[in-house]
Amino acid sequence: MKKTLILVFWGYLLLLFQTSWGPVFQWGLVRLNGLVPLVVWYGFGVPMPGGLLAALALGVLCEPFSSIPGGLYIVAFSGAYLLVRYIHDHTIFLVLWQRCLVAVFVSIGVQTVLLLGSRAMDLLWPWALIQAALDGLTYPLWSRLFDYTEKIIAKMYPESGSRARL
Amino acid sequence: MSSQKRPYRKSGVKAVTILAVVLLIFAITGIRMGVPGVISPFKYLFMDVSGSIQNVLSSPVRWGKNLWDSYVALQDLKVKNRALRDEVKRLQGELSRYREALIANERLRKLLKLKEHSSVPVLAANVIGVDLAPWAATVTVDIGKKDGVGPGMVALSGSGVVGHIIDSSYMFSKILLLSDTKSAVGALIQRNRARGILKGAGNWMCRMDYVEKGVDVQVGDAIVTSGTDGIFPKGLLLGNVIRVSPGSASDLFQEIYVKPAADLKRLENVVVLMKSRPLAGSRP
Repeated sequence: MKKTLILVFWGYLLLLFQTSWGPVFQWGLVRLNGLVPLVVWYGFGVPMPGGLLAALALGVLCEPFSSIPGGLYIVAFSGAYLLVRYIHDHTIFLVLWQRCLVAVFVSIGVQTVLLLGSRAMDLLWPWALIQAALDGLTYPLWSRLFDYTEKIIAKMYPESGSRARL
Repeated sequence: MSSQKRPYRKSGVKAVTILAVVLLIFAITGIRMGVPGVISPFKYLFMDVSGSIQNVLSSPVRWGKNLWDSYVALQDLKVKNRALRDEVKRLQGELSRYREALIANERLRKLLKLKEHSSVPVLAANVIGVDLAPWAATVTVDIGKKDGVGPGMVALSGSGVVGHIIDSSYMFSKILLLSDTKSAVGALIQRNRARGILKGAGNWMCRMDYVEKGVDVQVGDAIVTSGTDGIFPKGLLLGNVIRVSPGSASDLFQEIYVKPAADLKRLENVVVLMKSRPLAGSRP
């Protein structure tokens, strides 16, 4: 529940930040993006089916902020979540650099879906791949930020954790 | 025996005293005369020895004093430096504000001019956001249905056409910019009236399609709206040709790249033509 709260809170905050301050952190067609790392972080922490529902909700939340054809963000983020869950369920433990690689791979998937849907596939090379590399590189920072937020929420509402354990 | 030694001691003390007095006389005389004279060698010797001792003795004091002086001076400099830095920062801020005001003034003056020259009512708006996808060229502006704005209305900047509104909420609207890959505008080359369609090429550029190979197109040619698309009124400046290529031998049309007249990457204010909406929607 805490992680879902973080997904919605940070998802919305990142959407606002990326659309109002986006150009400041944009180089060519590459922009500092926290949404894909958020989905990856969430995917590693929350199982289905609740997790999938939240990923879907994040996709819905993205729609008003973009002119990209409707439904693409929903498909992209849900697909990203499922991919992360699949990897999670078939591995014993992933260290940070391996999670970064997963973030790169997932980001390529997300970019491909969005570019295909907006008929701009020619931008896959080099822009989408650079974007994916950036998402992977910044994943540790984002993941720390989300973990930190989770700790704060746990401190604020300690009873939710004990209930979960019960 | 002891009485015999006493006169020798007395005479010795007397001799030393006399010598000392003589030396003192010589010294005082020499100093009073102000010339090195006889005592000069002694004086210099004295001075050298004394000076050396003084030097050794005073060195820790001087070191401490220097340290203190430096510290005080440094503190003073630090304070002065901080004050000057604050002053520079304040002046820079002021300068930046003046510059910003100047630029805003210039921009708004252009929009006002546009408003004065426009035969249809216009509404000014501020750009408040960009698209979530970096390659999608749309912006959000702070006017919406409550201001009478709706899809199909044309947005302009002081330099030329920006795009058209594709979506409106009660308070905000989304403008599809000319450079978006989904954008297509009926256009003509102002110099020779050749027609074509201006499409978004991404990365803040446009491409003019369907201009036949025989048509004379030159770099710098102005591209204006043709008014045939049902959205954009005729004669509005879209941009200028920056590159012309005949394409391959099998191509029927030329490849023409156009730089939009408006700086789409750094849009801050736009004006919306309030009359163009029905054209798009009312077509059979």
